[in-house]
Amino acid sequence: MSYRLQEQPFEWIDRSKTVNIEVEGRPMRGFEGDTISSTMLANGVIHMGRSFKYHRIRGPFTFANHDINALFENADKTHVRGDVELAEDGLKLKGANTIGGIAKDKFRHLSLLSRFLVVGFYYKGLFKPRFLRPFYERIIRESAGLGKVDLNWRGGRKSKRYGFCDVLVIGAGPAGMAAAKAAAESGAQVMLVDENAQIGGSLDYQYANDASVADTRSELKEAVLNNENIEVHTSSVAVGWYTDNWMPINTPNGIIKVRAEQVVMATGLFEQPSIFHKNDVPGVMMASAAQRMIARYAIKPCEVAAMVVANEDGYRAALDLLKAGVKINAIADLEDHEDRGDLAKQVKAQGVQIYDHHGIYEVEGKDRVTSATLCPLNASGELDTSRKTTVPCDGVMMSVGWAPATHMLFQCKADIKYDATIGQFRAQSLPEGMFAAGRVNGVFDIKDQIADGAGAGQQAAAAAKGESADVQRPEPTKVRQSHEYPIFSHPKAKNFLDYDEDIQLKDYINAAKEGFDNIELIKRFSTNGMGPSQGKHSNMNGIRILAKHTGKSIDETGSTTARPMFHPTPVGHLGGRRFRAERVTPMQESHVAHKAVFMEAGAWLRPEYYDTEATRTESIHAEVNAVRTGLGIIDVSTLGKIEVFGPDAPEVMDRICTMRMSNMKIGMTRYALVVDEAGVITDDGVVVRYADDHFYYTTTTGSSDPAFRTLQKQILEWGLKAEAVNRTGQLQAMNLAGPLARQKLAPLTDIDLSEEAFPYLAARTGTMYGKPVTLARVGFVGELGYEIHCLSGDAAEIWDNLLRDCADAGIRPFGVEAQRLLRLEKGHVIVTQDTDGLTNPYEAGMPWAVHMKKDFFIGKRSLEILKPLQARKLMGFMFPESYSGGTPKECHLLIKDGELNGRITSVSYSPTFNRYLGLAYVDDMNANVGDAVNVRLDDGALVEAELVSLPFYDPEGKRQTCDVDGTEEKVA
Amino acid sequence: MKNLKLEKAQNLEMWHVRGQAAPAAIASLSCGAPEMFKINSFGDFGFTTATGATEFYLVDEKDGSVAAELKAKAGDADTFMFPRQDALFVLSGEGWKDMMLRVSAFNFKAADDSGYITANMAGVSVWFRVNSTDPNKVLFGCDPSYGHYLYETLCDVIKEVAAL
Repeated sequence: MSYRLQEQPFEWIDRSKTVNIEVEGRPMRGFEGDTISSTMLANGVIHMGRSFKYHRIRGPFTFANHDINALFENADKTHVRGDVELAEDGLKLKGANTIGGIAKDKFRHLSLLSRFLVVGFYYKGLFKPRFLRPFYERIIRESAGLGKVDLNWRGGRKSKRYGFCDVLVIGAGPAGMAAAKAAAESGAQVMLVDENAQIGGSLDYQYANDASVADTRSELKEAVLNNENIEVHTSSVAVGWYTDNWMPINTPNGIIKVRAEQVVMATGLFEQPSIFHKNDVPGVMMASAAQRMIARYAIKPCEVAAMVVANEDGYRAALDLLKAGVKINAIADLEDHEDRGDLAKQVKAQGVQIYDHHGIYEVEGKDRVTSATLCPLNASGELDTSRKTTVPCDGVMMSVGWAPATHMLFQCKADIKYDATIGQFRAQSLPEGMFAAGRVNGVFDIKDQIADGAGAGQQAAAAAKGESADVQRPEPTKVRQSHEYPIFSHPKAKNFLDYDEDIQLKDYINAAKEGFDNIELIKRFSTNGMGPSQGKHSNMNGIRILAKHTGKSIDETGSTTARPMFHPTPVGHLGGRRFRAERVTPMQESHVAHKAVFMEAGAWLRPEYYDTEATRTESIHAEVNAVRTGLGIIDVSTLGKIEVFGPDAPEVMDRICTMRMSNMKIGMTRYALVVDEAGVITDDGVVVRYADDHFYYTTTTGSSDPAFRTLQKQILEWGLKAEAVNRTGQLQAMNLAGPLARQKLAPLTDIDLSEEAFPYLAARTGTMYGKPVTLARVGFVGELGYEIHCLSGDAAEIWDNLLRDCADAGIRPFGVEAQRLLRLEKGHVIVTQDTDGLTNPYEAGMPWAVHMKKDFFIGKRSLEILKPLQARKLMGFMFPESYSGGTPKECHLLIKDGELNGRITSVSYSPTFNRYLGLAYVDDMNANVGDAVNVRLDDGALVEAELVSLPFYDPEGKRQTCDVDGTEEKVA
Repeated sequence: MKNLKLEKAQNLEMWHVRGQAAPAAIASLSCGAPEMFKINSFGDFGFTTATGATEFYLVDEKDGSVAAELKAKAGDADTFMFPRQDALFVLSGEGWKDMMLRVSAFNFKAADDSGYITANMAGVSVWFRVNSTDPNKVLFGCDPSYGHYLYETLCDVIKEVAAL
């Protein structure tokens, strides 16, 4: 049967447009604006899901975002909240947490075993025997969780964006709308956020039939929607508060990270359940849920109802039910209906039987409630079960109290105390920039709510301008709105405190008895409030139960910490659009054209090698061979490039580097080693001296920014007259290397490359192809070579021209891997590969790079101390040429007499030497060239290698320094 | 935001001016000395700005007269002119400030044409200058090595917002 009613005055559905969805194969028809749950109800389906632990059948409960009884999944989403997510045409869903569907769930009878599945049963019951633990773990893991994640799914990222406003109003109910309107009319830029699909809040469901607010409703809505100073976001949840009013708003299109000058919290309340036997059977729901069904979706909640109430709102809901054609067989008022005012009288006048000082003890029904049993309350607030009154009904509505949505008020460190007069937590004071309005502020009368919101809006707008507004705001209500203990025990239990986690009253009390008598501890042990609802319907009752058990007050018991996210937020929204900044050099297109295989070096993308041969290794070896025998070129634009200039520039360079730089001649280069205050190697590079007061300093690829920061800081600290400019991205560099380098480069530049004019380690400026360049004759790869530095805009042209003009020499671009191998053969250290966070220059075999005669350089004092303490040294090693076993790797250990004796930092198969060779730290200062060391491979095998002197290749350095100007034969 | 247009600015040159004598050199230009982080504009996109006591930036049309004027003055001791090769872009269209909210935490809605803005955009450090004659245009630049990434990323974002 359909529960659809005739048209309601403020319904959210468009009856002119139908939508068709399918839930577990069953087709259903609804209207545009229907949620999944309202569509199901319109089609006579009340069973919306299974509970998490006992797989009990569940129906609509809050009809808001406060429970997960109606939780579905499909291929795209693991958690589809039926109560609030729209039924879109063609949508196909199945229930979450079922095996075999909602109706025929394989675990539907699990509830029968509930006495064995108490809180923490897996700690208590599955502890022994030990050998079965993996089995239990597998079962628990398979059973736990809601929704199945498709690990191959790649969609769902929603771009984040930033938002700014003077006043952010959370909640578009009566107080929130009034606040937004007042703030905007005061000239503030306002953002109004509400989790519902439409603004209006309780005005449109709790007060839908209240003629006295009809004008106010339309005036507020119109003012909000038509004010250009108000940006409205519906179906959007403020999920957290962070310092300085930094608030993420989760919208259907992604998260908006809002920075608000002022915030007005008009977040309202969550209705709280009464706890009685079988209070989860479909048909038992919040009174406000019934009002939402009727007002928003024109759904009749049931035919015959029983109610339990403890405030005036319950009677307002009763009137709505009666108007919708629901017969009310009984209302159990936990107190006296005479205290409820005119609404209770109106209900009574319609012939409804009201039982004062009664509560609901239990309900009957398996698939749907069939009756409710009422009992009178005794003086101690417990039910007198000797006097039962049972009434038939197919719906039970609860209106026994509220819990304020104070989560983000807690997060911003508002001083929140329990207000016993109202029966709820309320902020006693708020931090600067934060306002609370409406029912969350303890103001309940609808006209007062609107006045409170308007006052808060005015105050917030004034505060945004740095002013204050003298506004008289309504006082909180003096009438209690929430019953102090609407919780009743039952010998058969099944009286649920937390619907997400199937926590029964006895579970919670037993947990307290077991010693978990602190609100935070009991939460974690019992898992109350740890489900997707995050305690929205269970935290307040949990506090009340624990307070009663411990004999403490509500304030002494306290509330659990309300951390962001206030509401589950999709990972795809948290991730947002991926911004992964990537740097490429101007030669990128050429690299791609030459089949480069790229690797990441920090933010840079660098050619690892060029995929020109059959295998990676063959490609790398071909590149090595080209450099050793002919000509190669590598893009080294990623090196840091810093200009240091000014009268004190020589002094700065002397203090930054371990080597003396101030005595370098203009037009020369020098190796630059940098250590920190602890003497640890942090960087190396080359320094070029352009002028007395002008140096050009290259760093390793990853060090340009930290090196520049250090330079700037030190120049300021030292008070020297020098300046530094980081030109890393502005200049590009390439290294032309190989015995043919000079011969091929000479005709392409106006710089004299002769040995006399341009010796090894010199640097010269001039032009190539008409472009300004600096050439530096340095040799990281151990061959005659020129580093060419030029402007970024000229680099691609120079590179391309070089490849073209040197093609007859067999020039090959080579990548990082070939360069690593070439420098390894030459015995050069790579900082951060052959050094670690403790390595000093003595250990790395570079005492020659430390000029202790200088008065000062960073790390000098530490190195003075460290020098005599040296306990390891970097040495070269080689495997026998005949070796054909497993592959030695970087970080493999050296073993001596069964003990650790060092580790490998670099190792590779050298095509030049036809064997593996590498660098290793040897923890033995007595180790000598010619000694044997054992390398332990992945499989544990020990392989003997021989320690050898460095460099492996061209130990006399002839290939870099001799006057080579021709072919390989001349070199030889 | 459907009429957003992103173009690479090809006809501009940029200079980074440093040194103890740089303030005097900049102050002697015909366009006058800029205030700290304020734009001293000339022409459509030309401007100077000060980012430190001895640090200035100059953007001019290619082979522009102000840059030439400065080059002549920078020959003096202790004024260093480094050419900047920034990737330069012009974003135009009425919704450019809204679009920027998707890539930068800076509140561009509060920006006007008087300021030299430096902000992080899509993970890259970027400077901005709102056009002084057309507020629906903004010139911005970044390290050239990030230019390709930034251009591709912004094109994607523009496509995304156009589809909204």
